[in-house]
Amino acid sequence: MTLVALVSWWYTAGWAGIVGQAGKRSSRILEAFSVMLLAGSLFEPFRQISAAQTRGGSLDMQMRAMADRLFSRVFGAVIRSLFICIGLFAALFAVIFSFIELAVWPIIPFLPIAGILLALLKVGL
Amino acid sequence: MNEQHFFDYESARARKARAAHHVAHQDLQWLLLICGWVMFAAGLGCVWALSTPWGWLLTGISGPFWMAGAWSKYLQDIPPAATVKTIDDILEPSLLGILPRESTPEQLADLVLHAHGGRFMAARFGLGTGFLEPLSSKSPADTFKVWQEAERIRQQIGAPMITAATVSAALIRCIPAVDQYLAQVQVDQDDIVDGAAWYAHLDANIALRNQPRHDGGIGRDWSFGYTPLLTRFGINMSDHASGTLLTSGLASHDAALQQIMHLLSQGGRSNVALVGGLGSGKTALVQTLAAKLLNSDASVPHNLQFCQVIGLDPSSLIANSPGRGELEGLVQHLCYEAVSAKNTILFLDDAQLFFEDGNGSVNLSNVLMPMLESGRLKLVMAMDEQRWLRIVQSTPALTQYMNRIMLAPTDEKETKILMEDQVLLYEYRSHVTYSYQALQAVYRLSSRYMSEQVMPGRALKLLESAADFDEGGLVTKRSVERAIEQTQGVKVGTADTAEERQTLLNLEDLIHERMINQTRAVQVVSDALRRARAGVRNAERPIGTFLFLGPTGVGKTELAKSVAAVFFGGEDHLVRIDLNEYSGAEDVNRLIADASQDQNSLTAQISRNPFSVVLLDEIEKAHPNVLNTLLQLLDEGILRDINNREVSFREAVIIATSNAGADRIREHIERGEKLEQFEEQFTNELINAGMFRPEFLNRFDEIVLFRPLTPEELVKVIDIILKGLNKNLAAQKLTLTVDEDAKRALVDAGYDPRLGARPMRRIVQRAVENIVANQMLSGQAGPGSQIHISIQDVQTMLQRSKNA
Repeated sequence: MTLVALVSWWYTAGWAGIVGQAGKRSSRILEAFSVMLLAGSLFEPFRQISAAQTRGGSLDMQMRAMADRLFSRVFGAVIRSLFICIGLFAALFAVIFSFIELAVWPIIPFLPIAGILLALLKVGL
Repeated sequence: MNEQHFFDYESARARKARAAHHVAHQDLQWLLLICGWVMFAAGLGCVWALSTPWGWLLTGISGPFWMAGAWSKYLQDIPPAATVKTIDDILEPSLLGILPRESTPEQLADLVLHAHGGRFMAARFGLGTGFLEPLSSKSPADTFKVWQEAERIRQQIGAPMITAATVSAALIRCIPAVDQYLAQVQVDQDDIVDGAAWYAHLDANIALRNQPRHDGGIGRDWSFGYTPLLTRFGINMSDHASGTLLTSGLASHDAALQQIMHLLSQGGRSNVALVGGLGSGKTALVQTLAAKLLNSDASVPHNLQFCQVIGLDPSSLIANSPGRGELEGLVQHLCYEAVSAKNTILFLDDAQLFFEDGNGSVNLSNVLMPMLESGRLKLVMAMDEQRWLRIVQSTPALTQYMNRIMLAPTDEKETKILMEDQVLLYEYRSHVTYSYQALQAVYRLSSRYMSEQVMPGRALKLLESAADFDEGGLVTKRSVERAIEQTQGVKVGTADTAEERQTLLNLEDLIHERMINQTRAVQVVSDALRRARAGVRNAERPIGTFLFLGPTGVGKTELAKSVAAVFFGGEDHLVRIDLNEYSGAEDVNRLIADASQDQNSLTAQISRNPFSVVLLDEIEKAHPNVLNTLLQLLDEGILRDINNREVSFREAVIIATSNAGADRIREHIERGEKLEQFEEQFTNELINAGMFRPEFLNRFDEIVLFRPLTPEELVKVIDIILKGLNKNLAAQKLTLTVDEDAKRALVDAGYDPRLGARPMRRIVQRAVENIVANQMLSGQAGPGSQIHISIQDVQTMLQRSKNA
């Protein structure tokens, strides 16, 4: 009875659940790598370290701060792009894994039979 | 009969729950999946590395492990059915999984104890595990009624499923004449339903906390500015908020939270001043805001997502800035940093400390106002209403940049929900279990005795302190009573020790050890005290309010002192206000002054020591405005201090004394009339003479007339004075005896019908104490000796003092 319930779930709700999980998994990975957040602030100065010190300063200080910020923006863009790329790759990998999972899922119940047959075949029985 | 209340043992959900009962455990799930992977890897390893064909067998066997692991995970989630056909569609899986095909209420009573909800109810209500089973029906036909009742309770509490707690509540309500059993544990049927609601609320909270968090990911902070100064000088509320039990979904707090988010998301000058009484939950609300912004979902406006809330502490800023200029510079930098970071909301708790100069506070309005004016800073302030009004008065422009949000105290329902949430934290910290009755007592007692805070702060404070008074790991109603007795200095439980009951029953005798006669006065006061300790008095008024009328020296003040000593445990529980010092209209302010301005004001003394006798001496000399102020005190047991804070007098005995009409009392007594005969007439005379207004006199529970003392009674007063003297001499191992005729001589020497017993102490001092002192100094009396005073000694000494 339990076995029937398990097998019937495996080929219905269980298999369908893989599809739903694939989407959730990718979106979780994108969030974990802050892809959308980083993309939204791609060219912002990186952590804006000099921001607080530039108010009301001399022209020289203002120019230096501007240069700092420019460097900070470039540096930030590189770091953020790197992270966005890692996040996208990870999400892509998750999608591929989900496809494999979807394909392998129906085969899993047959693994014991396949294992026994292969073992016997190799042994030469 | 409704089909919804039948149990279908063979339904798909019931079968799934039974399977889940055996295999749906997270640990088992992970064990199976890990075994699957290990076997798979080991099998392949054997095939390729060792070239053994049996590796294929190992690889193949991994399949069932994966299947079992995946199935175990699937079985852990059994939501209620979308459409309810039979009761099993909405039964909690842990209970559904253990239900047999048919059961009686008695069997159900046993089964619910195997699920969390059942044990929760047994523990919280102090019912024990053996309460339900013997009282439940043994007929299977009655099970239908239990399901019917359970479904009714589920709908009443708005829970998605019927939990074991709900079934417990239903079983209890199906017991015939259940109220008498529940009365033994001091709850009723509504409380039982509340208990089921509490469990459902906890279930919902757990489900909420199991939802995936949206905290922005590992690169979140790279999207915002670096805040080294704020990190150094501020307190990151977002860090403190994570992992706390703060969000309870209270309607009033949710509304305030939405309003704060809406205002802050507007940009510009839309900052927030959170105004509410001490303990109303302002800081907790800001912590909830911080937690919500950091775990941003769709309800959080886009420009507030992942914002952090940083609190500034003025004392730490002052300590780190040697001069005012430096301090202003530092605050300016902190504000700039918050603006530049683009994800920082500043929080000023007790914001008045930033707007006025004083000890631990500094006026930084000249720095903050331009920042607020520019509209770039996101700021939340918190303070109470009095302080908000004071700041607005000194800095009117603040109202242009700040939006006031009033945070009202929570009502009983909301406070209970908050306590039910917070209890888990206190239980975890103190290793105790709180009973439902304890929570009820916390609400009732904190609202009555802890006036310095508002709800829910005062309830949570008492709840936490009650953990120190646990009884074998359980926090009970008595633990809460003991906690409040210790912290507030009041007696709240009914008289529970034999000694105390004996004291209450013999109050008159104990009081008469200190004062002579005035039996009616002693009687009415004793009756009021007994009513109070038996718990049958009106709790919305003082314990008793009495007006004592009579000449000087008849025992009015002494009775007040005796009550303080006998009932309240010491004469230090007497708060004496001489109203002849309050004869001006402006003296009202002095009477109700704040403790910080005058520690001896009536309100300040009662705030410190609410369990007292309040003696309002010479009330006829008070200004009418002072008497008007006292009306509410006499009527409702409440007096508002100068800051409009309520001070409770509901645990106090109020005694007002007056000499008004003393001569008339004497005249009546001299005519041989008894007090009862002219009491009413005398009161009317006082009203007609304009001494007191009728509405004032009507506020007292009793108006008691004291009659002048006779010379025979004064001899007894002498006895009491001598008893006190002997008590003092006992320290030096001396005993004093005075002959009866000597006592009479003392009374004759000091007797004055207008002054009553008042001269007696003086005369004893002059005659007896002087003799004792002389004998001690001359060596006639030493440790262990007995001093005897005869009439001749008294006469000689009195003659000598008269000559002097």
